[in-house]
Amino acid sequence: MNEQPGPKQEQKTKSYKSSVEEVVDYLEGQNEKSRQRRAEGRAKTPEEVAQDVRDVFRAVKFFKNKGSDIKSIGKETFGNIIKNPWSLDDMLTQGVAKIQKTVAEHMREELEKEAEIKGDTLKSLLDVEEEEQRLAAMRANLDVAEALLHDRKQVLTGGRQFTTMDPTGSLKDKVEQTATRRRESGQQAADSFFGNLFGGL
Amino acid sequence: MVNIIEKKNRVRELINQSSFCKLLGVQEKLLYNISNLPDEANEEEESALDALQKVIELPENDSDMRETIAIFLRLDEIKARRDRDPNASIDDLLVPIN
Repeated sequence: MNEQPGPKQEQKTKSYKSSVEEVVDYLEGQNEKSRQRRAEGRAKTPEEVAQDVRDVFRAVKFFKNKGSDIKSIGKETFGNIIKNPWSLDDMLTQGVAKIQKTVAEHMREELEKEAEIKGDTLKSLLDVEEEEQRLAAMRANLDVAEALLHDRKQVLTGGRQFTTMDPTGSLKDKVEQTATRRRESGQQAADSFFGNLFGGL
Repeated sequence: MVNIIEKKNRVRELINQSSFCKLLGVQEKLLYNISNLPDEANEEEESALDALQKVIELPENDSDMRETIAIFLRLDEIKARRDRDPNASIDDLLVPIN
């Protein structure tokens, strides 16, 4: 006899809080299943969707916990662009670097919270190890963004010198070379403010 | 029996409409992983899709998050327009998206 799927949970009133609780419940159950799958060497497609849920949920938590910080960064970046349109690239790069730094801080706080709550059980160590790997990838991205920002500051300074002290054009060539390099590394660092920060690392 | 194909289509639609997923740059990846799920009803796949739907709806139901997302989507658009045309004027870059 075919069994019907078990009765689903009572439909809760749609609210941010109840939805968060349901997602948390799902992820807690999923963590254990993932561990079993790994132990058995199985890779399955529902696990990929479960990872998507984790990634998007991680980003939602970040937007809730650091909401006012990131909104300020966004407004400040936009305001800076309006005030300094000739430095648009630098303002965008600076904004991206600030966002990546805020994400890295948030991840660190989450890891510390996680480790504190779960103590030193093997399970928590495995969770933390996974998160640390993701964080390491994020830090590498942040390093590139910071180096890029430093480059751009130099270009800005160089550009100013050029208008007053470099009529021969040698500094201009140098600035153009740096601009090409920074454009390439900039695209590697971030094509968008949040792209790939919470998934695909 | 729940029609899992309908559920997949519903979640696909949500992903396509989600400004949050667009901001994260995860739309293609999410759609790809959903397309890899089998079409037979299965409790595990169903619950994965339910959870994905809920988590995608969270930012849409939060006015603060919606406002922040809109700011960054606009900044991303400025960045993308700049990349496409490095000589674009600031006025062109700042014209809001339709």
